[in-house]
Amino acid sequence: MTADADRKTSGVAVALAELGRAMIHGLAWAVLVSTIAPPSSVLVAFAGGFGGCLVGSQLGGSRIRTSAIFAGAAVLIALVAWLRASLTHGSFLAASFGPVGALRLASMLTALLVTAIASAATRAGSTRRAIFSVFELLLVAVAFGQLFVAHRHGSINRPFYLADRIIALGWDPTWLFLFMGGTATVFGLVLLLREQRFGRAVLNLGMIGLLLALIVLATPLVGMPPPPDGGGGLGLRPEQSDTKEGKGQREERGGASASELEFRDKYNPGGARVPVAVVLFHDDYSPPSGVYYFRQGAFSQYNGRKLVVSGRQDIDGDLIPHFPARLSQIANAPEVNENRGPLETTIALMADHTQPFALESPVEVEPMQNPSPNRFRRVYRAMSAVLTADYTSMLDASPGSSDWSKEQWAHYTETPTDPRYSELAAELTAELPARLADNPVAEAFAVTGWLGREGIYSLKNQHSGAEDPTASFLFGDRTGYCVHFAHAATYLMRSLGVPARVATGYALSESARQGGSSLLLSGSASHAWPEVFLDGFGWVVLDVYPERALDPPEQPMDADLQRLLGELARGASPIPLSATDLPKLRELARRISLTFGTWLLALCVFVLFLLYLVKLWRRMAPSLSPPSSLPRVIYRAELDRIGELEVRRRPGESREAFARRVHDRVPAFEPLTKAHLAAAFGGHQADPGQLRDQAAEVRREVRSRFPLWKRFLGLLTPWSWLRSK
Amino acid sequence: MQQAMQTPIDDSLSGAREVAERLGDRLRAAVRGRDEVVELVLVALLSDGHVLLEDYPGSGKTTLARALGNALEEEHGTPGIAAFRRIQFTPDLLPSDITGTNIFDVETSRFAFRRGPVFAHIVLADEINRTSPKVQAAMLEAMAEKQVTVDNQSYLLDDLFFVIATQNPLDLAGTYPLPTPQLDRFLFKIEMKHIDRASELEVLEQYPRASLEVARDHPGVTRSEILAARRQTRVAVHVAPVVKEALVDLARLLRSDSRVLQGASTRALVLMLPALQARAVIHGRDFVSPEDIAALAPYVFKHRLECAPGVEDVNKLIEEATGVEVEKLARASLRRG
Repeated sequence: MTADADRKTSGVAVALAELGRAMIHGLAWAVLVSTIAPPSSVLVAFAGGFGGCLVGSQLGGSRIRTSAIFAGAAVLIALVAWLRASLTHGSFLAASFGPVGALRLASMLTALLVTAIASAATRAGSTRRAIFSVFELLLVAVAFGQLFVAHRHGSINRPFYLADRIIALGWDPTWLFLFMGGTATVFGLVLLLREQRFGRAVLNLGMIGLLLALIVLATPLVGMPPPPDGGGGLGLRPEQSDTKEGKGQREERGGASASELEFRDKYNPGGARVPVAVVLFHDDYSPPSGVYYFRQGAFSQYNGRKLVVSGRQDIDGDLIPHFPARLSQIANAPEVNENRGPLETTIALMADHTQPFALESPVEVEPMQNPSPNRFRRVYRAMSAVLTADYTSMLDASPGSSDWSKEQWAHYTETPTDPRYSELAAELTAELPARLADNPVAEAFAVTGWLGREGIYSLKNQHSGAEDPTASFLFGDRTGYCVHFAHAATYLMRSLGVPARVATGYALSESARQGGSSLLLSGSASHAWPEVFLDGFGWVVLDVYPERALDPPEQPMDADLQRLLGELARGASPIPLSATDLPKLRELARRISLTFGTWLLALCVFVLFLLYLVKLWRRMAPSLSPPSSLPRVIYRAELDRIGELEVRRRPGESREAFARRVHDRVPAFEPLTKAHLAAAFGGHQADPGQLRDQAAEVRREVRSRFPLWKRFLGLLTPWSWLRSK
Repeated sequence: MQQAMQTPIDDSLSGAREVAERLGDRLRAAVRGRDEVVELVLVALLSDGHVLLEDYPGSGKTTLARALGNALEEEHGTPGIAAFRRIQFTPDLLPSDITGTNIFDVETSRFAFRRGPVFAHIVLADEINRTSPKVQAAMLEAMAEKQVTVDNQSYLLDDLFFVIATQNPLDLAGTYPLPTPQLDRFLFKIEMKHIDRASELEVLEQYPRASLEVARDHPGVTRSEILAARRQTRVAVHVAPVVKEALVDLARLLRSDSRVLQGASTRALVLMLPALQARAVIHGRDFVSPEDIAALAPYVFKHRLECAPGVEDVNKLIEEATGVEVEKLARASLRRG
């Protein structure tokens, strides 16, 4: 009887909940249908979901068996499919409405009927058994997920039909998704806290978890996820090798990105399409090789097995050692001369990098103010002396630098002791025409050319187990990826006496710019390539371009996204000079300065805090209040306590009637009510000791009659006291 | 349950409460399954109001009235006033048939007043809607004024003059329905419903003995006890100002309702206040609680409202308005002061 009474708690609340549920059904279907049908059908699908949900609630209350409802729904949907087929294939509709009209009409009809039937069936099932509400939750989850999934991997411009409008308004679509996700989560929480049955509470909890996971994964709430395999992209990050040595080495170099070059049997490109940075070109530039190389690190030290980052101070000084705090010049940068021209780029990082990178070869770098702190982790400008000279003009250059010490020469020409390298190198260079014989630069070209012809590019290979993986690659099946090629080329060049090293970073073809001024870098653009040092040129990229590849070619990045992010980065301005004296403080201030989102969060937290504070006050008031108001305060505290458990007085119900209604669950509440009313309407003073005993009895009864999980949920609900009247 | 109430009751009220309890026990023994009606009749008796019972024949109206009459024990000091009288109203009844008439006494050659059946403590006015408006008016005057006028001479009725009138709601052919202003004289109009299965079975179980005989096992009350209880109730039961406000607001709310053509009179409120006090006493309280309003409002207001055509459920209308006021009072009770 009490359960019946509870169910009828309030007609308005029930009707509102019913309408809300119908709205959710409608919206879920509209979202789902929007991907496969024209806008008119989306509207109709909303109506179908809305109506179907209402019908389903009625069905749930009817005497029809659950299995019959599901079977009926399946049959009806099949019937609708047949109807649609016959409508579109028949000539009647086409004759009356024209072919387009007929298709649209049939699509609308299908959308309406299918959504209505499916909604009615899921809703009816959900009202019957908790387990069937999984279908309903799934419907909503899939609809939401469908929205969010397109948004993942930093594709902030997707789904187009939502994001386009938001971006056109000048807002950040991420906020929309956060808002939607937040709303859904709050809704789920409310559902959870209102829930009377344990099974459904668990389901709701799962649902909330799912939504939260979706939000976190899809929106760059915590910044872009780092590239799956680190800055090197190919297992070059020290995190990959969890040896203590690797970490120590990294610290020595002040956060160099790659301390150890890793050969892997299989490079998994999963998630490699997540954008990690966007580069904005201040001027047009076509590299002679047709590929933009962004150098981040270099491996030049031979450790007996492979090349690693050198710990020596006089080596690889052309790298940017760390993120600049102010405008800083690169120590051993190449000069701007007839071979190298200046080019400015702005680089906005979306993922954390341990070491900055720039278009080779950087001359100076300068930190910039972040125009979009929610989007970018760090923005800096780099001036590079980019290669403008043709590769043929390098033939006359001499390898190495005359300024180098003996140790430096030795460092850059150290090779494995394996004699096969020099034998192979000699064999290759023997084919050079007599004019170019003994020209070290031409010999280096010969090496890369030969490797390009003979090597097979594949992310899958079997060399990592070998003592010398490069030898296994070069003298074995010659199947490998850039790390193998770069190592092989470097060893061969070094054995010919040409100073060479392996550089790492990002490489992307000129065509990836797609005519724009911005270039979007993703994990899949990670690359390692061989470089040689030529006098007057500095370190020059001499990459291997394998003619045969076993892997499918990379898809280009989304041009829209590339342009959009480029425009976002364009707003970057240099950090004012006066502030450069305190760059750390400035950076700190930027980090802790509250953005809109943080304010909102702070406000929510504050409101939550207030709610809990009042709740606590009302609960603690009995022990603090004077005896005159004790009956009222103690009654209120216990009213709150049972109100938390969804046992509430109905509007218009007298306090006595409410006490009688809850009598079978909390009998001790009745004398408390009496005492309160006697004080309020009769002006009676009650005995404080007796009142406290009665309140203690209420608490004892609540503990024994209500399950722990429910009491716990009730305690967590911050707004419960607002509803106890 | 009622005894479990912890409210300390004023000493001056213990007598009234005891009387109500004694009477209640006796009536409940006589009329099974009608506890609610018994309580309302008790409330009316203690608050000096009259009751109109609307029911079909054989539902225990007469038994109830008779049991009440029988419960009054003989007492010295009120000669010529019967404890209980029943008047069967018929179309051919004359006013003098109920009030009494002047009769020529041959021996003394003078007109002497012979008292009619209204000169009693408890009067059962059976099927009051079957008699002519003239007789109804005489009866209602007696109820309102506690006096009858015969040949320009007024005769006072007893202080404890309590009328239980009945009418049959179904068989309306040849009746003179009471107009709303006349219904206003009744404190309550009670629509009795069929008693539940267990109670009906109980009535049959005690078969060889009549209900009234069974009731005789319980002690009765005297006239002066009832009058004293009335006085105590009126004086000692506290009515908080907010409750009075709620009462007035309730009446105003009902009057302003667009579905109501004519709302309850101020007299209704004046009559209701002692009724609320009486109910509080019966429930062991010495203050009027919002629940009293919720419990009595339907019986007080239903026959006083004239609703617009098409309004089916007057009870719901009253319930809504009462709910608003009860809610107000309930919330006010949680506020400081």
